[in-house]
Amino acid sequence: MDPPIYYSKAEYIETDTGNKVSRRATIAGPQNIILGGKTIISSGAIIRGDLRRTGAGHAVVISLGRYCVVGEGCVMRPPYKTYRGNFNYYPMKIGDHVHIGANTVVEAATIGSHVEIGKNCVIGKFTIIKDCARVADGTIVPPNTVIPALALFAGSPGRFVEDLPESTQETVETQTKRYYTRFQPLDR
Amino acid sequence: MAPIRDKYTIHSKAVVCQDVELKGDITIGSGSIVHPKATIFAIAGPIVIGSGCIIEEGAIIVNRRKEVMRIGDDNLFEIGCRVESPTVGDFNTVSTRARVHHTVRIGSYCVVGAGCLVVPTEDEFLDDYTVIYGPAAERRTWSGRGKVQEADLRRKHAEYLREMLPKFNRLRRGEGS
Amino acid sequence: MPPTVDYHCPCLSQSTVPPPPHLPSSLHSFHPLHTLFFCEECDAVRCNRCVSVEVSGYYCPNCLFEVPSASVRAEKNRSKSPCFGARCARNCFMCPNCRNTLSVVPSDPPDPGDGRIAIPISTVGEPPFFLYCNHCRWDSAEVGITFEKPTGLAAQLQKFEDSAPDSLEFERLKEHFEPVIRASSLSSSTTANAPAAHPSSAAHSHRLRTNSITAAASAALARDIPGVSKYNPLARSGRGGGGAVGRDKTTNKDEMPEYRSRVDIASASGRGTGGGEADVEYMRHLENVSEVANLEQRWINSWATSLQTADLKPLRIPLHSKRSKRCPACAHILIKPEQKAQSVRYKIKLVAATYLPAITAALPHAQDATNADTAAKRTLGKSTSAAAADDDRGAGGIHAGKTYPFHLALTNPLYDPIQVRLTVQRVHSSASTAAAASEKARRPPFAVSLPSNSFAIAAYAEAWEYDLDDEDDLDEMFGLDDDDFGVAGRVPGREGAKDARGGKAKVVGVLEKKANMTVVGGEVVIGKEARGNVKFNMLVSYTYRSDDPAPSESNDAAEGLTPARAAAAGAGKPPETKTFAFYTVVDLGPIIPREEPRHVDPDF
Repeated sequence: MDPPIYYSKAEYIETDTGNKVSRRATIAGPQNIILGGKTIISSGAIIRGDLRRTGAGHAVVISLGRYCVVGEGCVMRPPYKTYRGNFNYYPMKIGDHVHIGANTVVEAATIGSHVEIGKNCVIGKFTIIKDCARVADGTIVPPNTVIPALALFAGSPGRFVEDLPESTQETVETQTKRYYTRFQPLDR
Repeated sequence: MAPIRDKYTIHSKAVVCQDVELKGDITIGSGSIVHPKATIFAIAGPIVIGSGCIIEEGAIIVNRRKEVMRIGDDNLFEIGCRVESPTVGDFNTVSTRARVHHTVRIGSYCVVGAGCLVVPTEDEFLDDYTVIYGPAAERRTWSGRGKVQEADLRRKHAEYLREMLPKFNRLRRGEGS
Repeated sequence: MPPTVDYHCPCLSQSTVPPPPHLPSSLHSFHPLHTLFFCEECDAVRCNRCVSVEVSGYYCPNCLFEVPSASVRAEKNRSKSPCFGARCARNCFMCPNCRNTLSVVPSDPPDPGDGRIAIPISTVGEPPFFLYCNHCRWDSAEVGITFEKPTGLAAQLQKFEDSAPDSLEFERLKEHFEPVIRASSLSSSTTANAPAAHPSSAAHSHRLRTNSITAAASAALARDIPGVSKYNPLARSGRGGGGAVGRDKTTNKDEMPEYRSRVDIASASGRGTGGGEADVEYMRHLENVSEVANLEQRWINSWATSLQTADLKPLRIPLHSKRSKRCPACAHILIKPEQKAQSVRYKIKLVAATYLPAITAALPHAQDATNADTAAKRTLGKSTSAAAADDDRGAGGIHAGKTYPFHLALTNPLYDPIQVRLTVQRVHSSASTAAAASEKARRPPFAVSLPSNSFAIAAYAEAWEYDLDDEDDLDEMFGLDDDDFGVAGRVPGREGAKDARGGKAKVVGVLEKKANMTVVGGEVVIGKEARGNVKFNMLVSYTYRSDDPAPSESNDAAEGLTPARAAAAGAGKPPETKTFAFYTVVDLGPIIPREEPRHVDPDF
């Protein structure tokens, strides 16, 4: 029923697992970024895989699950702090079916699955967002905030507004899958 | 207005990524960091940035005035913020997506909260330890407790970036260094 | 705004017919499908407005720690303001200034005094610790609260809270009323059983007990409202004289001494609780407005608090609850969450979306406009998007005096195929008879035609979930002139030929079938003087085949069966059919009046 959302075929690179990444997105340190498959990185997004934890070995900095969308102009950046006197960046983990609206900045520690984040939000450092939560457009979530499962947060500082319906998981899953299906190339 | 002449003076210990937009007469001090996708525009007068500052991705620093825009030491300009203040002291934090107009001069140890708009029509000076927060850009004065730890964090952060950023990003070198 | 379809919940009302869509009350009886429940016992839709709700567990929204209900009661809510519900008893606090969550931080190392910033050597942090807000930078040391250790803050803070005048007062009040509540709860729990109309079950005993306590407590409170109290002794003595058989058995147990507050309110202002001369004096010498705490910062506290920001204390975080929901008619459980606080699963979850077909509406002419727009946007770059959006409004709008086709896509959630019939509710049905004259003027300024025949929607199968050939499907989906047979032929169901009535360019009728979704077309003729929204009530009735006689047809019956096998099994037995009907309201959007054909109302 819903009309397709067209993108220019030349702009996006599609991977074997169905990830679609805009050539106009800035992906720093791609070797430290994992995309789960069927995840879309829109144009103008910045993903900082270069801000990795110090120490030897291969370090995953940012991982996104399946059917995620990183909107236009989003910045995804791992959080940092000093712990026992040592400075470090810490990895950011994002589950499946997570949509992040345009121009939102994310410095969260973990985001669960089936989470919707609106546009123009600021998700502070080390924020934990549990499953099926939703963050309204323009919300400022201060560092270290915990957003419980099935909660709607809004405002500055972002605060609990209401509980979301019991069927949120199914609704979000359908929507994110449909979005991926609608996201179609146009030959020009 | 005379055409802008580009002149970048970047200290040898500063780290400025290649993917940064610079325009006009810009001086960047020792140990300062400019992340990729940041923008520094000296449209009218020059911009002088002190040492130990961190300018994150998407941050925009603009000087619209004729006079020199002076930014002190150890300031943090977070993701996507926009600063046009003619003077900025030391150890300030302009948080993510905050905007500060050219009418505002910033003291030291000030915090402009995430998403705050500071756009007064008349000239204003933010006293030391001013905190601006919330949707209505409310103000209060910070007690200053914890500033030593915050300074420690900022210094260690800059130190980390000086080491790590060159590993993943190509750097720019100024003519004057 | 895209067109919407909301579903009606009768909410135990006698009439199952919803109010006409232009009445304001209609707004409250229609809900999005995903917020509704379905009771299998009653075979009825239920909504959040009518279900009965029970708390099945508490948790702190910050530390996510589960708090057993028993300890919520036992720990007297660990709250400075008992009237505002249960609070986290661990280390979670809210900023009294901006309501952000506070963090515990150590102090800075001593300043060397030479103006330079010393780098701290200690890795664990120096005491004293304090609570700090990283949003507005308020800290608890500002109001003189510091901690020796960064752990067990609640216990450390308890001393402050317990000595606060209002919590001492509350304790006294509780002590004063305790015997009365105990006495009346004993008697009312025996009386409450008699009028209880609910079928008795183990789950109900809990509810009854809490009910009796609240009933007793509210009864006790009502008798002690200061203004009313002086009439009470008279009434009581009168009744006592005429034989002690009151209407309410609990009244005569209510011989209690008068309560005297711990401190006189006139002198309270002197004790830092605000009010009276002290505040006036304080305000008189005020130099900075920010020294006065605003109302929002103060009202979460109990009745009398200090005016000064300097007296704001860290707030404990209120607990959240997980809730079970029951059918209001039969008390059948509809929602039962898992125990674990952050689990999003449910032991029982009977939601309407798994029983009723999901309906979405669309205006094809508006979609064409946006499609053209998106295509243009992509080639021309983002700069045109604003202009294009303006254009799109005009192109996608509904103009008075014109005729528009619309599409309704129905998706079947059941593991059996269904037959659906759609009917538009005529507005003259119930409400207009009452106020015929005024209703006449309010007759909908548009006429809706829908397919009159019933049509089929194929069964849901897990296989549809796999988007194997997305691209092919999409091409068919949007090439609406495609041969209906070609599309229908892909459906493994038996119908297809039956629905393909009418010619090529049909508007009203079945347009497309794909997996468990059927798209039907309708048409709306907008009157010349029309205003407001194109909004109408639509009755959806569907017939499904049920293999087992019980109404629980969908989940257990077809689990693990492929659609082919399910169909085969159904074919073997004599098919038993059931019909279910529900109302929806379809809102296609605002009508653009004729005078300004390209101008949409500003809210749009």
